[in-house]
Amino acid sequence: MGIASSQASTLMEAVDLSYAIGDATLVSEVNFSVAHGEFVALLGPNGAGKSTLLKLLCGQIQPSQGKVSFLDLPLSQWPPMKLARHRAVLPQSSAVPFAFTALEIVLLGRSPHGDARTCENLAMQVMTQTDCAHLAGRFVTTLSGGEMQRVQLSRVLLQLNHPDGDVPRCLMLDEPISNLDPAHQHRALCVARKFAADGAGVLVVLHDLNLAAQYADRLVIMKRGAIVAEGAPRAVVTEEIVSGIFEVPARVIPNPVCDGPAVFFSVTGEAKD
Amino acid sequence: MLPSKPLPTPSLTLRHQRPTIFCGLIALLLATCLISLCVGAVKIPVSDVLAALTGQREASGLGNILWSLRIPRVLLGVLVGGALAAAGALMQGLFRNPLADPALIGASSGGALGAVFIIVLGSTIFPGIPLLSDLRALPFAAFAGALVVTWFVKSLAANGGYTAIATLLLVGVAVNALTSAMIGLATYLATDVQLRTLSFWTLGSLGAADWQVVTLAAPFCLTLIILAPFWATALNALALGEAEAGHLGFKVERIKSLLILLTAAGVGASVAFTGIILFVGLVVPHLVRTLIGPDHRWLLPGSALLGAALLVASDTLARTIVAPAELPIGILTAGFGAPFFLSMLLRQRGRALWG
Repeated sequence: MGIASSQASTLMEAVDLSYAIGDATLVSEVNFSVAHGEFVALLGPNGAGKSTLLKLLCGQIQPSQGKVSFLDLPLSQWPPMKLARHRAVLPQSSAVPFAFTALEIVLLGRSPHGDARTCENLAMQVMTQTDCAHLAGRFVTTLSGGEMQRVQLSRVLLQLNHPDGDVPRCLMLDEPISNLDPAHQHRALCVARKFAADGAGVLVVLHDLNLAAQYADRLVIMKRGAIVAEGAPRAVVTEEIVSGIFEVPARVIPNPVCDGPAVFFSVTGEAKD
Repeated sequence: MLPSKPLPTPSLTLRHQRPTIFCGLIALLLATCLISLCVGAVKIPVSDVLAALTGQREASGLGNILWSLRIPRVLLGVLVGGALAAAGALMQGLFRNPLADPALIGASSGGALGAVFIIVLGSTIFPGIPLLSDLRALPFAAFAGALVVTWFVKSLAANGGYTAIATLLLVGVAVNALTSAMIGLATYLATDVQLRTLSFWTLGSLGAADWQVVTLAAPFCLTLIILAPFWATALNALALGEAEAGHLGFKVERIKSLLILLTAAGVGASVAFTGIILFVGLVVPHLVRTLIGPDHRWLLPGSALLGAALLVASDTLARTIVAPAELPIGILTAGFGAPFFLSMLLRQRGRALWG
């Protein structure tokens, strides 16, 4: 997949990555990279190992085999605070047990920079992008799942905000739009898209193939711990590949609202018509 | 931390008042201490107390009562109340659960176990080793006991660092049972003098206060109270989750270990000299959170201040309501704290309580 040729522009790279617990191999021999300015979507059926791969890639768990490097340096050699200024990770949401305000949560994204005090206006700008500025003063314990997801997204966006200068950045999101309505799903992916256009690498675990095909530069599809399809949306979202991987008959048509493929599934005899 | 342009939300205007509320807490603590110095079996007028404190009057009878009895007792109350409340706030942040409390999860019992071991078994089983029966060994033994239990609870924490309150409380039940058994055994072996010392472990009392106790407890309690706020930002990040805090650049495992050492030091020393005082660590951080929010930079020192004030006030009450006799302070704190805890449980019901 041209890893050698794209070496210079590689932001994050994983080589021969495997992860096993006991007899179960959750991720096996995965090679993976994200380039500067690239938007990569990671997809696959439930239990394919997407979240596990993301945890391996961000160093939250250690691989049984293989290596992950960020900007050509192994993850283990990065001082955590320094890494956090270049790379933000948003795991699947966990509840916040105390009544912080949404703004306080977003400002926690500045902890690696130590300038939360002076970043309130910046935080409000980011929250405007993700449409949660009106929630700034609300206690996060009272927010809905979708509102909380937008607040958390704002937090990681603020974490990677470098007002002065072109710094290598990488954003890793695990199902960041699972609780959002369609309008906010598109809004969040547009923000991520713009982030990539500004030169950052973006890796997002998604479930919706059409959203992925509409916004990502490259799709990576996993199944049973291995990468089974990878490439530009047009090359990956085809009827044979998609119906083969998800084991459901699929039809692919041109997306009516943008340049690219759109996929529809039909389980025989179950649809209403 | 205050917004540059005010936002029209009640919660944020509350945050504006934090410095004011903080000054209020300091004033409350000073007032409580002053009242506690005046009130007791012998009433001392405020003017005399102030005169004695500023050194304007030499040791008269009243000065003696103040300097040898009341001042060390108030100081011990301040140290222990502050340490217990700060430890509670710290544990709640660490275990990501607002119901964690040093006494409920068994850390206090662990400390008591260590201390009882020194008091009775130390001199009964190993009478030849003077170090073991020395008062100075007490806080260290209690520190060790509290540390073992807290560490055990930490290692029980589920993946992702969330510790279900059920787990916390069950560990507390087990450790408390073990402690009662050990204290029972100790009572069996104890001499008459030791028996009287033992009786206060289960109920708690500041009655043992003298200058030696204060100087022994101070380094442990102050270490917790003064050092804990340095990890406030890390505790704030921990509220997001352990993985999230790690991705913000914090060395989560190292920080957790350090904070557990700090808590065990404060809780251990408190228990060593005052017995198990329930609910201070639970109620105080909760009250402070409703006053100034959950930001640990304010919560930790705020809890220490209110905890100190609350314990000194409870002790004053314990000394006076049945004067000249004295009520164990644990009866008071449990009397107020237990209904409070139940109401918190009810409010949390259905929310991540047993999850």
